[in-house]
Amino acid sequence: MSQPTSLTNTNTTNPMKQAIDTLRSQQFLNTLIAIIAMYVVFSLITGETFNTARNQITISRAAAVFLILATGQTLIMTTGGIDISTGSMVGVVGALVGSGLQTEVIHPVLAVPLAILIGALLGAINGFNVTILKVPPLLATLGTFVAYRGFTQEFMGVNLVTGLPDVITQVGRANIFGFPVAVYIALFIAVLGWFLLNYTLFGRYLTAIGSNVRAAQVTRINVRLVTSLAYIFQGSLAGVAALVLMGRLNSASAALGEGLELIVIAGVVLGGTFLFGGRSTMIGTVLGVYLIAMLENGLIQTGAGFFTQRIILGILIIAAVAMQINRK
Amino acid sequence: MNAYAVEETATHTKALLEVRDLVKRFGGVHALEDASLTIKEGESVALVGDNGAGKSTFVKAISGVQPADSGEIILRGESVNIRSPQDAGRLGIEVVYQDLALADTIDVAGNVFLGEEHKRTNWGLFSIPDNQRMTQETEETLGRLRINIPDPKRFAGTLSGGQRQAVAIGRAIRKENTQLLVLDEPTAALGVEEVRKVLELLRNLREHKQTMLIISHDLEHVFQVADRVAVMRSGQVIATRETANTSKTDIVRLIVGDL
Repeated sequence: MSQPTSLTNTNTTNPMKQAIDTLRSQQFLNTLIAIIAMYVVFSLITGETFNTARNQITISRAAAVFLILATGQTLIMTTGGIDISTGSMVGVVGALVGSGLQTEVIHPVLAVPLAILIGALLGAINGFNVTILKVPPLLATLGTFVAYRGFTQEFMGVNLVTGLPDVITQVGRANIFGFPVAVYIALFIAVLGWFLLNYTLFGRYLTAIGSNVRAAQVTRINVRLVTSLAYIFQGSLAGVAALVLMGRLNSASAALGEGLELIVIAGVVLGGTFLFGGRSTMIGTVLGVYLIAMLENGLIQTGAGFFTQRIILGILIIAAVAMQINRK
Repeated sequence: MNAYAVEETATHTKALLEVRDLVKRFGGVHALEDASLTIKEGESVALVGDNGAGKSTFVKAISGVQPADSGEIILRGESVNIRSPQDAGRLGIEVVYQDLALADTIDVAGNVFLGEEHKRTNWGLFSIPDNQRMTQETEETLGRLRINIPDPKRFAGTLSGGQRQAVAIGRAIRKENTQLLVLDEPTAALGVEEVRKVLELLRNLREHKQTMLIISHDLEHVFQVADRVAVMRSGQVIATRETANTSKTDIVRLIVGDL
């Protein structure tokens, strides 16, 4: 009999070095450091206004909508995909459900399941385009990004939905124990996403697909179903986000949700989820979107306008991706 | 039967797999032209041939990746219909692909069980995997193969080429119903030391009477791990020779058509 085939690497690593390596590999720690640094900087620049409990709650309320969408985006990016149409899906759900609520065609109680269902259908279209028609995710969702927004504008015209039922506005505005309801919803969804990613076969298969789609194909993983479910999940979360956003604004227009996709993608990437799939972190996503919400808030307080925010957001996305590629 | 085909019957074990007259055409190209091969139980057969001789097409046909146009595949005396890799898997034909098909960001145990996980709950796609059991069984399987992977919880991406090959083989033979292990160029793209280790592993499997079909164009390696060599040329298996009774020179002459 032959000797044991030792394929062990010969260099032994000491536990301390291993622990440090593990910590360093957690990119979300960088995000956490960035949040603290930004907090200090904005507090110093703006004096009293930024560093107040009230302002922190405002930030978390904005971050809540980002986080709801970023949870689904994290799952999609785990497969190596991307969903550019997120904001446009929010627009469609806002237009249909908002108009239905205003005209009292839809009972407020039905608004939630209906919003989730419409969102899921929009997500299923993305899933179909990506897995059956085999259109690359970036282009498949760029197509629906334009098409869904086009539908919203066609449907809404210059109309503005206002005077939404209390149930909806409370979702966007009310507080429980001093924190916005939206934050609880977002955290619940993030925990759900974290559980799915780390503790279920679904999460493992998302990772396998993003890591090596061929590996997933030659095993008995249903790659099309698993990938489609990620897009459907993201669609249904767009439904939830639309309700929260409408509730907060107490209105819906043809522009509802515009620009959210970039914020969400930036947040996920900044958190440390790998743009090319196979590696993701929900904790990182939570921190990433909080970082962006804080940045937006701080910039507004320092007097920077909307367009300046856009410039900085664009640079941030490029920087985050460049950092990931160079690490790889 | 082809004039060159000489079936040698030194061992008297039963045939595990009999492939008869496989034909595969791509337009005007005859990739397989009545290709036939018998693999006995517990035997290690190497499939050799020049580029374009039909080795890959042959393997794709018996593994269901690209079913043949005509011909017959007989497994343990029964004619079987292999139309997809899933069919092949059900029948116990496991292929270790050249690109190894490991998910780099999943741990070793996760890769060994990918798609067929043990579960702690039965919630379909949303089941919770039983990682502890899978890690333990992975250690057992790799231990049986005398493969020493430092930690089954390590990401596959952190392993060396030889370790990855070992994990891929471990995944294939872990399955209880695996009867035939097909290895597509198992030593390609590996360093010298890694090649040595993989060959040792294959010899180990041969000693354990694991039936294998090894596709390779490195005759040096073939002679180390195979009981018999099947030579393909122009879509046919033109000869089979026992490694103990032939030489590399003879095999090369068969490959290039000089014999």
